[in-house]
Amino acid sequence: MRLGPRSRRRSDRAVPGGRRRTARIHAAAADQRPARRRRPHPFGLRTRLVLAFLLVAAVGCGTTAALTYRAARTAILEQTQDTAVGSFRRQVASLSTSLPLDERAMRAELLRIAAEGRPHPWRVYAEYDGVLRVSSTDRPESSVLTSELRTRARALGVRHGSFQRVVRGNIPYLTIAIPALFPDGQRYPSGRPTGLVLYAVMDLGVEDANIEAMVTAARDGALPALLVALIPALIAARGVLRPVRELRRAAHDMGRGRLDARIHAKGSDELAELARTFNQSAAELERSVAELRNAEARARRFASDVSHELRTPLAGMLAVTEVLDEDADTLDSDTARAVRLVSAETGKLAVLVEDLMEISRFDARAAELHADEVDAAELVRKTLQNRHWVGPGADAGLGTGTVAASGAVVTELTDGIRARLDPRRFDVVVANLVGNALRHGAAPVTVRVYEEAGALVIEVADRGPGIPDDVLPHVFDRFYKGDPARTRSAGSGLGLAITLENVRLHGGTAVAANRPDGGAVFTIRIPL
Amino acid sequence: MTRSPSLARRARAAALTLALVPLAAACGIQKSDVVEAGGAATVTVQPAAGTRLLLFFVGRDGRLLPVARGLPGEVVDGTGPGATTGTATPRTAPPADPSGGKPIPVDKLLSVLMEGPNEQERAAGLTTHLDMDGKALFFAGPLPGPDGAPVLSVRFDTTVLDLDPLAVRQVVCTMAYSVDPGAAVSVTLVGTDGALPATRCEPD
Repeated sequence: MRLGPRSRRRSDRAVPGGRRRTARIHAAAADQRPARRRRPHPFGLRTRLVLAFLLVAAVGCGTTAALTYRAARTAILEQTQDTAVGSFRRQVASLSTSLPLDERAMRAELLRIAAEGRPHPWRVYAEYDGVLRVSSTDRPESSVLTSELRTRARALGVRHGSFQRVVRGNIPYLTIAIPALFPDGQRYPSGRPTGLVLYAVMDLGVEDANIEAMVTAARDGALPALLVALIPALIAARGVLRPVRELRRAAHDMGRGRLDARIHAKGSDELAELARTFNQSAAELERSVAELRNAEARARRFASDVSHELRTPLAGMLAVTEVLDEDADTLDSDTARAVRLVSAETGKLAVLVEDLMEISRFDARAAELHADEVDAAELVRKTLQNRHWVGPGADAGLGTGTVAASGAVVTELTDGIRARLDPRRFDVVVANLVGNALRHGAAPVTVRVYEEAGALVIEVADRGPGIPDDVLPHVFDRFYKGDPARTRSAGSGLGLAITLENVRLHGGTAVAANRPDGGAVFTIRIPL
Repeated sequence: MTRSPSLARRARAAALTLALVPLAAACGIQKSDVVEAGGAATVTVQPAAGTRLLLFFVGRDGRLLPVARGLPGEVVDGTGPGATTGTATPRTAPPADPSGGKPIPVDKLLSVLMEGPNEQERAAGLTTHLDMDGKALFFAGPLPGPDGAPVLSVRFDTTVLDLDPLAVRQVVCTMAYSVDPGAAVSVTLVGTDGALPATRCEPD
């Protein structure tokens, strides 16, 4: 069911729940702005999704690069170390030495070995009996050889070579220790220590540079990879956000009363499920609301139909009671009283039916505004005169307090306020308010017409006891009885409801309140 | 949500740090511990076997180190320990060098050992723990011992039970290598106060 924006809003207010109104009724309230649009959070869903994506990509890239780097570094170092240790062992095995160490002869041997460094040149040192004696350099000692390595190479029972990587002044070195064994025949194939240990020190600058290059390559590769990851991140974020955005739009539409708002759900992921659930809920809601509206419309149509059906026989009855009224004087007193009672009640019934039909027209939204540019004070005055609440003499005191001939109604009318009003409906509004004040309040009733903040204000105040606080919120309700004990009132019980509907039709507001100094005051505001 | 946001954030940060630690912490070549890598190397010792005396002296930190000296002139020409007149009289034939070289003059060898390291060896830091005044009286063996392994006996005219263990090892190793390049012989020292158990020259 598609409704125009204006009628839709009205129908929203006509659902049963809307009947519980407060005294302060704003016909314009339905025009409230939709919920204030907040600026998107700086870390919106899109940003968070993209960041998460990038983070995952970064962690993935980083971990892969780190593991690759570690493996490659290990491989590079292992190859260098194995080559160096192996070739140094072969060189040591080719040594010919005297025991104890002959330093001159050994230096010649060391110089020969130093030239055979594999895979890089090395410096060679010879230790005998725990003291470094000779080297291929000009100093027999080396600061790169750690006591750790030397102790290990000399330890009792050691029959193996060992190496250690040492960093001195940011330069990595590979230090190798190979103990020289005494040939021992078959019995001790591992040999007996000769007290001679040979050390080699190799600069790992080339390996360091290679490894450094790998780090640079990994870093330079990771940045473009992250940039590339940005594209799927944005696409994924868009894919997730589109249904969310659509959902928001649909929910917003539904909030504004467009119950036919639906989401285009495709796929079978969680978001599509959510969209389908939303669509089902919306459909269910739409169906329920439509049912409620139909039920209400049926009820109203029934009231309208009843009123219509009652009207014709009532017209006949009214004609008959008029005749009877005229003849009442000729009847005996009991019959005459009965006839007058019937006549009065029939009159009330006629008013009630008229009011019911009027309010039915409002409910059916068949009420139309025939607005004219008129002088508000003039209209009010005419109404009061027509009801004989003020005499024609009231015209004399324009805009000032004028006591009517009857003394019941006092007017303070500001002339010259031109407003677009439907004279007939405005007449009903004023007549109902003043009639209500006269009926339930106490004289004098003050009627004021003035202009305030771009609105025409009609104020009707009485000097009665005022409206009880618990009744105040309901004075505009239909058939609401201020005093539950008083089941019968002079009016139809629809007067103020019709007043409110008429004011709304003018786009205005109606407010009931109690004056601090006693008495009720009804204030109508109609925008100019 | 049961966890507080700050806790969740901290957990996330920790995970991120954990993931980045291997990347950040291990750049370049790191220093390492001492790593064992393959065997040692066997060197050629000059002078070659058969033309040397192999003596054992004590190094700086109390371990036995071999010293190779060239044979003294008269010993090189000698016909063997049996032919040489000396304080020690081997009862059996002198051990032959399996490599086919000349026989090792065992009695000479022991007296050279008792003389201690020469100047060059002392300069290299070698000492001897063998300070007994006695002389080797005779050698016997190698004869099959109780367990079938060959045993070389060396008899001294002094006490041997109170000898420094290192001194005993010096004698044992020097003697063992002199009869067998593999030093597979056990050596027992016999003195006036009794005999030491037969031991082999075990490497350190």
